[in-house]
Amino acid sequence: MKWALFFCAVSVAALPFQITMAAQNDDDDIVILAVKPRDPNVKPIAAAVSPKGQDISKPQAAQAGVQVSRR
Amino acid sequence: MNAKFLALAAAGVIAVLPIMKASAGDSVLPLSPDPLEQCSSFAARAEAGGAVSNWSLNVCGNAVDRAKGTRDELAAAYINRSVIHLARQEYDAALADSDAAIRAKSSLPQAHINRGIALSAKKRNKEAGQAFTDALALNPSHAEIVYFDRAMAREDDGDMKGAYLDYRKAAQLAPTWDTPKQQLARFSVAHAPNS
Repeated sequence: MKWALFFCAVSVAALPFQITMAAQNDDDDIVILAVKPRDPNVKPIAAAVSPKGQDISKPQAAQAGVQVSRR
Repeated sequence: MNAKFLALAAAGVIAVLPIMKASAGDSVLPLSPDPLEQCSSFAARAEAGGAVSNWSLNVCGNAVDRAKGTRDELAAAYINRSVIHLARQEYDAALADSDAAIRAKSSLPQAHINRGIALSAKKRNKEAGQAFTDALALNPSHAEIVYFDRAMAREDDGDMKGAYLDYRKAAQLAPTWDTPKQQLARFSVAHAPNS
């Protein structure tokens, strides 16, 4: 009985580690078969700041797809 | 009577001239007399795809000159002027301003983000990817945007898996933002069997 409880406790303690490993393995297993060309209107997003250097980027601007010109 | 009327009309025209000049050149009037505030506003508009004029660049130049007293303000002015340069496709100037911002204060992720975009535009994609990684290390408030930008640099560099993982991370961090999801849809992906 004591041994059974001990193994149960060890299994539960190891679960997060196993889940993390599984997630990492998922990424390792990904194979990119093909990629369609990117729409040239999709541009990277620059970042502006307040006069004191605080972030004033607006995620909704990014959602609207308005970004700086790239090429 | 006529002379009085003429004098009044002339005074009115002179008073309105600065407004007419600003309107004609920029379609945007300065919001505040403080060049640091104005530069920040112009950069925010440029970031959001708004009009970018010579006037906004001049204002940010004034902001850089005026901010030379404090590192925070100086870095912010350089960062915001780099946004204006990026929007005007002046990538060398954007890179120079981003580097100047980093020299003034290296802990602002926005300087590294804009540096990465300038490098990417100059097809220096590996350096761009590193700049975005540097930005992520500084815990930016909108990491999804940095992952998205890095994904584009990685894609342009031929690192399709890295690009896919970055687009996916951006989509996870901002589930209501459609653009990363649209990019993910371009990828055909399979999972290799476990060995």
